[in-house]
Amino acid sequence: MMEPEASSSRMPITRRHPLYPFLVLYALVGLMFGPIGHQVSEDMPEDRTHPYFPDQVWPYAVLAMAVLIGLGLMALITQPLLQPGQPADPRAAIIPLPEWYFRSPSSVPHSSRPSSSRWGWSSG
Amino acid sequence: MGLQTAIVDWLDERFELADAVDAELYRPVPNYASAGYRYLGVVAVILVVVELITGFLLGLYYVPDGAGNPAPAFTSVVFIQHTAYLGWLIRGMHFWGANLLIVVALLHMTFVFWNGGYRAPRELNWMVGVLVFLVIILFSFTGSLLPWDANEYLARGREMSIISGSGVLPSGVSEFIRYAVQGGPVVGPATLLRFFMAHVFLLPALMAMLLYIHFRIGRKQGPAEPA
Repeated sequence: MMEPEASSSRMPITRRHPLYPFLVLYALVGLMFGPIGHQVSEDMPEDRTHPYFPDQVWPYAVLAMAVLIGLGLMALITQPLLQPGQPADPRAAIIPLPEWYFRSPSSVPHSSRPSSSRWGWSSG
Repeated sequence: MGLQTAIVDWLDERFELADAVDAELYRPVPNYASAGYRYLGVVAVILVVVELITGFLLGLYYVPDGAGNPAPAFTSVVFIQHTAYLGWLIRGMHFWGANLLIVVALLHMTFVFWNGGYRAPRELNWMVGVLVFLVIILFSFTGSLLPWDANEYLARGREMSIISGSGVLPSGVSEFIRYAVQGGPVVGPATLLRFFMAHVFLLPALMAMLLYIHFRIGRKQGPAEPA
């Protein structure tokens, strides 16, 4: 990091300055939205790289078509499986409670033992 | 053609558009990035876009109201499935796209891991990718309740019991989690609305932000060399 010169009129905010964490957050915004900067692949020899367009891009279109056709076919074949079943009815729902052996002894009074109609591993 | 050239020239004078496009199109890419398994990330992105488009189309007819029996949420899904033009196709593609997205994202993660993409200096991007996967799972979890049919309803109720740590965590904590997530003692209309809002607003925003960071770091660092 560049240290500001003593004669400079800028505030000497270094890494130890209490405001520094906030400035890092501010700088992160610039880092995320600013130019991408130097990329690792730019350092590689030319014979080990290829241009993004068209060499790398053309399979994208093929893959997109394959995905669309595949999903369409799956939707067509499995159409009977995706029919809505019975509607949900929250009024018939019972508040689920753990079985008595999962609860602490103090929280299992004689009358609160869950009945078999509750959700869970019912013993009947 | 004249209009297109005029627009491009107008933009180029202000934003150096032509240089930016050239830099993007003809940037060097390592040869090993052309391996078949490297395209799994692209397939995942394609599936995300498909989910976004089909989800928008489903949202035109879906009613996130779970009150009554049958509830408007359920009847709107029946309408989409049987009456809306090609509704069955859109719903089927959304359903299968969601399932395929989980599989493809897992495969993508497997190959990235295999190539050492989790090691320095790419560990941050690996963590962001794991977060993206968690968001995909949350998408699946929240979306599966929306049809409001009995099977999904009971399944989500059971999962909610697991999430709240019922019987494991202290009852106060468990109840708090349950109320925070489902908005009441049982899975009901309030839960449906919460899941809908998360599925349609919160999670897409989170996903967009995480994917932006993921791509940004990925572009900067490039793909990991084969193991």
